[in-house]
Amino acid sequence: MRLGHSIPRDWSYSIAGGAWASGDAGNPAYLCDRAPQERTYFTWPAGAQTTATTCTITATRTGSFVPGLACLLNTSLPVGTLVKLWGRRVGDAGYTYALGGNTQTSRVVELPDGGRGIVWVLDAELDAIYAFQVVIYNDVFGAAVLTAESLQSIGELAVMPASVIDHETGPTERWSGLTATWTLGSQPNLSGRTPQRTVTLRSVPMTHAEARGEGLAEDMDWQQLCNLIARDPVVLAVLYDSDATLAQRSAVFGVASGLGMTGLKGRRQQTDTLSIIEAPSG
Amino acid sequence: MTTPTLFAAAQLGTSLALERGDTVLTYTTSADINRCCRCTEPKDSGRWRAEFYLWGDAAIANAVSIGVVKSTHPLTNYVGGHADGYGYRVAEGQIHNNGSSIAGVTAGAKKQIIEVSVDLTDAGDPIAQWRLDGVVIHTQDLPDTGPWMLAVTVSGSTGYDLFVMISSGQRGKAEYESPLPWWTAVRTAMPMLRIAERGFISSADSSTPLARYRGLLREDSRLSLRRSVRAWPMRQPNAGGFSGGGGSLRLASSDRSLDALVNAGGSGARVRLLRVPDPVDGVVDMAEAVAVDELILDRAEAIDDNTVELVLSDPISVLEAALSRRLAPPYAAEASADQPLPVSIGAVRSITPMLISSADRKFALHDDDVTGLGTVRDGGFPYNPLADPTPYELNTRGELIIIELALPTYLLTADLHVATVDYAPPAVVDILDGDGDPFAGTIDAVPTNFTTAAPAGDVKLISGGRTRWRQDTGIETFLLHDTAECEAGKKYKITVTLDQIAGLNPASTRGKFALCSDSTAPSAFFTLQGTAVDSPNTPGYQDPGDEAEGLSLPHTFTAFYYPSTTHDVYLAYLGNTTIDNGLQTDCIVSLVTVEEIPPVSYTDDEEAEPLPLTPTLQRLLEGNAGFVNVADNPNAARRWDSTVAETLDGTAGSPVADVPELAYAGTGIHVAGGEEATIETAARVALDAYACDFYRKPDGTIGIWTLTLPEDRTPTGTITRATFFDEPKIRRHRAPGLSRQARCRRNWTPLAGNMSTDTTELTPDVRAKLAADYRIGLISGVAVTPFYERAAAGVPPKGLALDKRADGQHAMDRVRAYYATDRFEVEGVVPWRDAYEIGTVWLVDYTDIRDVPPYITGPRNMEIIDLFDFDPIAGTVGLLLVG
Repeated sequence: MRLGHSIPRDWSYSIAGGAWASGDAGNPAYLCDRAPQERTYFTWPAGAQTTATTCTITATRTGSFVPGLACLLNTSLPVGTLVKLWGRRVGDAGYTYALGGNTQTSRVVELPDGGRGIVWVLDAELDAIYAFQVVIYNDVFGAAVLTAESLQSIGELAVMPASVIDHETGPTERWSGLTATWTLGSQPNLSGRTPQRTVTLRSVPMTHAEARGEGLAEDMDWQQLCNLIARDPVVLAVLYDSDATLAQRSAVFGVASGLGMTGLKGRRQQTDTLSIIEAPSG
Repeated sequence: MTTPTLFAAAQLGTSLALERGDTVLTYTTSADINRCCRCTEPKDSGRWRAEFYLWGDAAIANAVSIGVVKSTHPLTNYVGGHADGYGYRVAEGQIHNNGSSIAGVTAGAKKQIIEVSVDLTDAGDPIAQWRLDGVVIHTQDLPDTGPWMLAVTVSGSTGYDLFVMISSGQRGKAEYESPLPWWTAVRTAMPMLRIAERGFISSADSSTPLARYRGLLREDSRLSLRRSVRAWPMRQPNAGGFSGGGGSLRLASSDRSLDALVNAGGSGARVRLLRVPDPVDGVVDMAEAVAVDELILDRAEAIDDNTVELVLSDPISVLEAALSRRLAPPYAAEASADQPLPVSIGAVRSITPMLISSADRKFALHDDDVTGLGTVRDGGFPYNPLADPTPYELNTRGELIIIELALPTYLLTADLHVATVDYAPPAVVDILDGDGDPFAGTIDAVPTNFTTAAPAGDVKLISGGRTRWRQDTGIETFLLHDTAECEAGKKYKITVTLDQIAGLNPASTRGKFALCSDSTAPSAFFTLQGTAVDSPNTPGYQDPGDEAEGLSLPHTFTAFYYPSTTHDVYLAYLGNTTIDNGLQTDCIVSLVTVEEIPPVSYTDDEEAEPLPLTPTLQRLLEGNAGFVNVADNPNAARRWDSTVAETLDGTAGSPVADVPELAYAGTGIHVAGGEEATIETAARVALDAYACDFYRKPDGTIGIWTLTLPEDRTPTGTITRATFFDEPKIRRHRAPGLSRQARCRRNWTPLAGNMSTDTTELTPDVRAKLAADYRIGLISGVAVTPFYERAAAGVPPKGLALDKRADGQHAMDRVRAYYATDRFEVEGVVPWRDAYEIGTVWLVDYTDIRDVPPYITGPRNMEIIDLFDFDPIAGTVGLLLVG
């Protein structure tokens, strides 16, 4: 699986084409508030609409990092909307750095967290970027569907570093929050709790290098990963990242817990059971 | 509670001192007038006022000035002694600025209330205003908007000999009503917080568009709300508080967005709970929101680093505040000073007035104007209100002044009725229909609607400064009104204004005015002036004024008249005129009115006017607790719904279905001076008599519930066993407040042990009546089922706050009729539906409920009287139904 972590929050946002909604509703801080349910609202560009009409959201920060995963969660954009993601390195003249993977091809899909969105799995070994741009096309499977000045929203927009982790025999997924109480007539009384997934997994037994010796890709190791997650437990776990469809259906945006490692026989080590509790969209 | 203005301890002139928590200013030693003390809370905008009391032993001449100053006004000048201050020199009756008088105004005295107000809302025309005992004495243009602050100068030759107290909200109600707010600190407003289970924004076409509702509710948030009613006789009368609701909400606050709320406490804010449809793409049309409940924020507390708990309470709990009342002035008798004045609402009997001043023989009956005064008694012995001179008088501030030189020997008690602002007592009826004020008609003819009768005199309308009639020479002249009639048993006030009189024989019986019942001869009349010749229909009243010649004219004669038989009204002038000087100026009259006075009790208990339920609650909820009738403003912060009370009173334009029109004459509530009482306990007294209770409607409006027979009402729906989560509990409904006997017409101070020794007025009947807790005993013959029969004996009779025997009897019979059927209770928890409301009736079909006691048969209508453990988050509610 691919585990996105250390999600930067110190972005400065701007919008082109459309405009942020007035007041707190259009506050872009909600794009990175770690709560996909809390959205930032914006209005779609005015004027005649074609599939070339775009609305661009740009985010910049001071520090650079190597991106591995990105996601756009809980959006009002209809399924099939084409959204492209571009990066910008220090020294680039514009948002021209291609991030590979499905960043140029993916369209909005229904995600298993109850909302619509996109999960982008980026190429490995990218250069560090300090800014990114999301270009939303009025292209819903080839048709211009979005109406001028319509109210749109995005719950979470995140680009983050990620590490590939080898884990034991498939992660376990459980759903909770489905509460019904029953009357004497055996009729359900459904309360409005939003369902929530919990994913649990353990790494495979690791060598010292993988555990503590920068033995993972990009000089990462488990100890450093635990360190980063402990300081900021919000993660994007893409359980199966081999293709875009699998990645989006298996992605869980949530909070990780259960850090730690157990020593095994034969100078091997294994993580404790890592739980990722979902922060769903709806 | 906003912070009232005080004297500023740091802005005190030399030799001045503060007492009583910086509310009283005095001086410590011999000091001239050139000093002042400024107050806190300077203002540069808005409208503000404060009242000042002035008292002490020293003279106030050249010693006191009260007004407004800027911060640049030196403390070494009296208020107004510098260009930056304006002061009212009380004794001199002058407004001073820059050391000299700029306006002459009414002079004041000690123990008068001086109000100072500013209106700075118009920056181009800021003004200050002074009122003396509620009357505006001066309006002063201010040069700018300041900031201005209140300031006071007090001085004298011996220290601690004059005192000035400031009141800007510390003392409850104002001495004199004014639309201006108290001069207080301004409380910073809290912005509205919108919180949701799941975050969303309101749609662009909602009344508040694109407002963000943040999804901050923690998963462990649980609400346990309650709405319930328990009226007499479901419990003992006058027992127990409101079983209001409450609950708590836990909010995630790790982003510190609720810090401001926690710091402010937020106490008293409205908390509205709405149910909204599921958001569509994070947007909700708030027009579709349904009110679930509305409560008051009791407090906002930080539970830990990232959790804030909102503790909610019922808006009804606002009524647990002290009955906000005026306090007795600081210079009142020592036992009464600064104590709450008594409060009376409606008809009350045998209340003990609060002594204000024994030197002035002044007692407080009420904290506002008293509408009608009944019998005033000294140890039970009634003062004769018709005696000459009048034994007491009532001022417009609810104070009774005993005119006789001696204070009461025994305990002073009084019967009175007090109506609320919006309740108009029967108006005075001018039975001459205005014809006597002013006279109208053709010059030189008899005034319109009048005729003259034998022995004929020459009555003519003349022109003049006012329209008047004049009598020529003659001995007896009658002026007859063709429609006026005095009815037996009523009371009339007669007013005659004599403008001019001439040509009388000073040695004779001279001129008299009389009201006659005979159109031909003055056989039955009493005089308005002069010696009473004939007064068959006493009690009458003679004007204590001197003979006409000694009067300064014009002179108004006033008399009261109680006809023993119904008869027409004739006005006679009886004059022994000796000259006709050609000018025909014997007698000129400009005003004759005969007014029917609404009945006020003087001797008979039945004459007092109790107040119906609606105005009684209006006085308590609107006058004391700041509620607004929801019909007047559905968006007010505190609302109540008077429709049920109006239906009970029989005054509703469109009566509420199923609510009986009782049309009781009304109720009476009294809280003695210095006594602690809450608005709730006062309201409870009235509600119990009507078998009513307050409850909270889903939108937070305070409604009134009353006892009705559920079998006569249409059920909202059906509740079966299958509705409940668990087996409902079924049990007998008990009625601990039910009895066969009751009493009404309360003596608020039973006189046993304080009675005068007189035996002529105080017959055993009267003594028994005054010594008991209540004057009327009642017994009901309405049958109840055997289960409730135990209430027949051994239970102390209940006291009802009703003044009329018929009302008390009906109240007894009404509640007993409810128990002519065995009543049961069903209690259980069900999934929440909007339709579950207090007072709704449901057809409860529990034939499928196991463990049904054998005494219950078949489905029956039952009424919801309690919604408990109501959790809108989980969607469950507990129901208690009675029927």
